[in-house]
Amino acid sequence: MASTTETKQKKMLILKSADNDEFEIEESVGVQSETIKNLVEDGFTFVPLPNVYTKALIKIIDYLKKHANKTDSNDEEIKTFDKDFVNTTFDDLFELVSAANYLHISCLMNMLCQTIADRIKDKSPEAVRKIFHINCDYTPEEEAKIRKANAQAFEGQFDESLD
Amino acid sequence: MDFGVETRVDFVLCLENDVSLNILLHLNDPADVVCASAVSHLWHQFVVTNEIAKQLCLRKFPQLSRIARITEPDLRVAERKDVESSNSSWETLKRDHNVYASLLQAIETSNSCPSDCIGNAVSASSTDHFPDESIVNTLVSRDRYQNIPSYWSSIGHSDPNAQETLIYKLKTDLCVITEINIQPFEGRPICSAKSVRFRFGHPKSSRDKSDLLHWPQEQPVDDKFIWTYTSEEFPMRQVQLLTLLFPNTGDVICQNCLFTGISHWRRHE
Repeated sequence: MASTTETKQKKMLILKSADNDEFEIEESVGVQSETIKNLVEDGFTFVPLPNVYTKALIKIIDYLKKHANKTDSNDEEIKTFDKDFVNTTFDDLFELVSAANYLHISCLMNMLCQTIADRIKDKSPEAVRKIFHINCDYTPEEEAKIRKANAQAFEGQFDESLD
Repeated sequence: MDFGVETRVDFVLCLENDVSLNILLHLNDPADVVCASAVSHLWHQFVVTNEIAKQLCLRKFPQLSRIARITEPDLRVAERKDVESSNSSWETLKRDHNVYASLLQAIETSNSCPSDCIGNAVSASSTDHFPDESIVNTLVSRDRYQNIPSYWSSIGHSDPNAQETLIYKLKTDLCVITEINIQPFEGRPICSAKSVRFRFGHPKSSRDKSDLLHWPQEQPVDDKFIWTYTSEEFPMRQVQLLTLLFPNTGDVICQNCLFTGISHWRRHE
């Protein structure tokens, strides 16, 4: 009987971000996070997340909602959503990956780590330094030594772009 | 996308260690791991102490977890350095990083031409009608070459348990073998062996390695090699093409380029 299932009260949770914003979400959406799931199992319905800022939390709630409604038919739609989700700056990705790690959402964690790894893939050490504003603390001699020890890795063509 | 106002921190420095590790473990190419280790002292230390090259290597080739010991050819260097134990464990980690990274690169390079890894025929334990029926013929997949039947044949034995050995040199020094195909000559009947087993190994001396292709192909040279892997014995059916797949992840990684098939031959006239 459809009407009874619809009227049945859905269990809700309140998530509180590090900057004190509160978000109400369905429990079934929230428990995709292991951290939230453990708290829910201990009877909590109010979940403070002191390590997750509002900006990241909004995006992550979006992600969880989308993935909670995963069916066989919306596979393509979710793929497109994921692709848009990670199409953002390194700063955002780092913020998101820290939050996903704290919340223990393994599929999101994998996707974000793969995205970041893919962006530094094929880059020369010099390009990686420029991207992340890292000072080269190697002396030219040390650098030559590293290149010599791993000559094969430095044979190919590097991607020197900085995005 | 607007990257203009980005801070773009050094994530190895700023993110939690397990997050940075997770990111770098998603680098699939050993060359990228090596490049990451060359970014700064911090990155180098991070990549080396977390054994990222080794983890990547074992994830791709679980059979490499059987590596028991790594030795360096130049032992004088290790002896001369009279280092403290904490320092030497760092040296060990650093060495292992280089070893696993270059091992993985070598395997992947050899895998980039996966179709056929047999390079040359080295020798057969016996050959009938040399050179017409020599081992070289086995490198041609067709049963006939320029209208002449093309096959290798032993001199034949009255003992049905007699063994014959064919030795081949592989194309590269390092190969991952996942599959072996054998094609018995389609005579009447099909002249296949009763069973077959495979070995992989390398020449006893490095001098032999360069001589390898100058040995007489019709004579046995089995004793000049060290065989490091021997397969189980596969019974052969009398079929035209037999494909043997190495089960599960038990692919054989072959170092230093030799491969031999040993067979118990059916008696046939």
